[in-house]
Amino acid sequence: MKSLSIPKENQIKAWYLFIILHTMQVGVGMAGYPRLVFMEARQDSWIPIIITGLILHLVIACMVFVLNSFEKEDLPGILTKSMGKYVGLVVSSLFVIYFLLLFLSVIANYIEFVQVFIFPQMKSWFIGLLLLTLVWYAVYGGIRVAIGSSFVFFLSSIWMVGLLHKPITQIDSRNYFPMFQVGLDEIYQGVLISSYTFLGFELLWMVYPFINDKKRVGRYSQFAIVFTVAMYLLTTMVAIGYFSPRQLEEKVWPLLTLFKVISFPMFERFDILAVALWILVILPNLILLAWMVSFTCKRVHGWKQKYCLAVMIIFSLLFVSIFDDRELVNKLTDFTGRVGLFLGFGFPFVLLPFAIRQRMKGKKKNAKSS
Amino acid sequence: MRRRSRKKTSSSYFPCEIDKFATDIKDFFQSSPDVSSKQFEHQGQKIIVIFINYMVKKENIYKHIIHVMQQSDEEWNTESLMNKIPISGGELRSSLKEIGEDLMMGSVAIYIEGQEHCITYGVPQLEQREPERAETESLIFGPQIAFTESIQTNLNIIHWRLDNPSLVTEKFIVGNEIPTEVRLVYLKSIADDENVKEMRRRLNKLQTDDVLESSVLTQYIEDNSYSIFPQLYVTELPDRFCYEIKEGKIGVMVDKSPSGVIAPTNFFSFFESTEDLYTRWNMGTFIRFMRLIAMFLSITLTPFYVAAITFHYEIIPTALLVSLGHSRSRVPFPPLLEALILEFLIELIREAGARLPTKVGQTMGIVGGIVIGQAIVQAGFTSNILIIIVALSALASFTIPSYLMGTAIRIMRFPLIIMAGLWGVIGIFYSYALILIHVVKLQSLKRPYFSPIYPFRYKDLDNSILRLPFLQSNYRAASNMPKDKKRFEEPSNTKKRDIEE
Repeated sequence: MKSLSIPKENQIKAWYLFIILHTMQVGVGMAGYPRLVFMEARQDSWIPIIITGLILHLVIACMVFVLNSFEKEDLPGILTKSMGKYVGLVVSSLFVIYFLLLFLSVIANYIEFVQVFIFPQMKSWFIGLLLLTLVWYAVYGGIRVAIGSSFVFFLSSIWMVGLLHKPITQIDSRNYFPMFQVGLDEIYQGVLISSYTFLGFELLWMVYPFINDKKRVGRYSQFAIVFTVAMYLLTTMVAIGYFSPRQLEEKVWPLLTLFKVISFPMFERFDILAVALWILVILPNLILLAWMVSFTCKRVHGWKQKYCLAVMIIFSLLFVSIFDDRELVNKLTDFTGRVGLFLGFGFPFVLLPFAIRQRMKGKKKNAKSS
Repeated sequence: MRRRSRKKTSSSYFPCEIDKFATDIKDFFQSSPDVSSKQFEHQGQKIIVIFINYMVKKENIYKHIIHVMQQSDEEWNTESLMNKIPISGGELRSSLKEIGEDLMMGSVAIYIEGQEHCITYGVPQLEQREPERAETESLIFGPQIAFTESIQTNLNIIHWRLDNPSLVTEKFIVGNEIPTEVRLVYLKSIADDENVKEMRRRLNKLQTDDVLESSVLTQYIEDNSYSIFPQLYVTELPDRFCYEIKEGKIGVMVDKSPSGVIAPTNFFSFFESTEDLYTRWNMGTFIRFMRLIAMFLSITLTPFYVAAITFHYEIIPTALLVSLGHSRSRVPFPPLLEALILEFLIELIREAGARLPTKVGQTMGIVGGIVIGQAIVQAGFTSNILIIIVALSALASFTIPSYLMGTAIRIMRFPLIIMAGLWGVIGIFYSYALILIHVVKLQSLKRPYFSPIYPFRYKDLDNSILRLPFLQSNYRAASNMPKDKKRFEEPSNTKKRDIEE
């Protein structure tokens, strides 16, 4: 496999990683996350969140280490370099499937939001079609447009965090006490359940060669994790404080329910808008994932990226129109989370020895040449 | 450049008989009655002077050419003629086609029998209006002068305003049937070479029969001709044009067109007006924000009304719901149709007002706005609230200084309203996402269109979205890639003093 050489106009600055990694991690998972983690760790949910965050910092540090030791390579390049052509091909294909799974779970979950909150009658394939046309249009413009539109969507949806001030004023602080009631087992379960929500940082594998100032990659990806953890901590704690424990267990998407209390002089019910606005939150996920899938396909198999993209979009459309029931979406989400636990969280550590070997080689070469 | 090479291949026509030359020129112009020729003999030489009646300043010909030739006693030949005649810009021509083209541009041709070449002198007389007040981009404050149709006058104004030796005005000829002079204007010490090269490439590549006007030229050389958004700024204000060039952009002037083109342009520059610079910075910033909000409202209000009334009644507050229900109760149409009718009506009034002479136009406004507006509610065609909303969004779209962008925004409303009527808020946000992706995707002269938002350049926010005090904004926008980033050195006495010192 050839190494990538990226033309200058397609390169991006490292600090965009801060935004795009964050937008990749925040998405559909966020709406239901407070309940899931609350079910496991109750009022001490902040402990598993912070622990997950710490683990993530480690994972990112490992990823950056691996990427830095291979310098200009992305994931398929690293795999073929370290594991040989055929194993690399198989593992890269596994990653393609995994990215595709993530993509499908995001789109299926969002379709469900729309059907529950706004249009119960709207057909899944139609919502899927709307989303997929946008994805197609954005990815067709290449990495510049994919990252650019993710960035713009981030800017146009991040203000929604400010809306939480209303529920914050109505928090019952007794909901947080007593503290430290949680056992080790529950923390473990809470960390496991968080895995799906925090996925998406795998983008770093693919986007690394496009980054202009590679020295700062580590710093900004770590910042992104801090930001994401802060965001999840905020929303979860607000949800736990605002709802009584019984209520919170019944709300499937506590975050969207939180938006129900917000009203403006012009809008009585903000949740309708929030769900529609959520399109701007999940689009970065979809766009970047679709870019990852199509680009990895291109890298691994040498197919044309536009055909990969077209095939993937048609496949996704068929998928969401055929499998549109709650149970299945749940199963898909859980399954993706479990796969992500290995491929997302675990895999960087598998590559660690190869990276060390690569560094040794590099050092030897340097020693020889000097 | 290609025209030159074509000319060289034609074989020399001269020397020839005077009478043959005269008839050939007549034939070249399809025996037009406007081709005048004067033949005379001087010292035994036959000399002919040919020009097109209304294209030349005749006094110049009689006074500086014929008079000079007849007064002198010497025997004329081409070289001595070139030396003696007190008009600049004499050209030696050897083919009929070249002479014909020169005559069309207002030259006079002089031929002495037996010579190898014919001489042409440009003495054009062009009908043109004086520079007047700007009409399409009117300002309350600041310079009022606008470009005219003559490129000579326009270049004169530009040179006068940009008094800098590094000002370059490259000449291009565009148009196969009707060649038009196009000038590429930039400051060599500031403008980015890549931009200049790209624009030069596009102008050279352009193949068309005729560029009608500079806004037509922009449509030929734009990056994406299928987009609804204009990607190059067309302005009739010399101060705007020169300001942008000084900021490191490049400009294009087209002969016969009263406006200049500025490139590269980003989305937000369509919401700027030079007036923001003339007013104080706080007012300028406020007004810029107001325009951006106006743009947003203009594409938001009516679609949201349609979406809320059709699908999402629950987002309407109770207090508003009562009056809304009251005025909607008499309307027999679905909200989508209601909104489309009214939007269409507003567009009709605007278009009719623009096409009619000013005096009648005012009546149009009264008839359209007040009479129909009043009647349409009473007849139960639309609700009161919708009238307010539509009028507000139409008004908002007119605050955009660029006419092209304002029109783009107004047209964009129609698909948005239809999307809102079909799929509610989902339709609206789908369209917003589509527009945002599209805007991020667009490029202007290969530079990102949505700069300074993406790629994000916080220093460029000044002078695009904000406007800081001038002493603070001593940098040229990085989006233009200027060679010289600093506008001026920072003032030295920036040290803060204590209260009583």
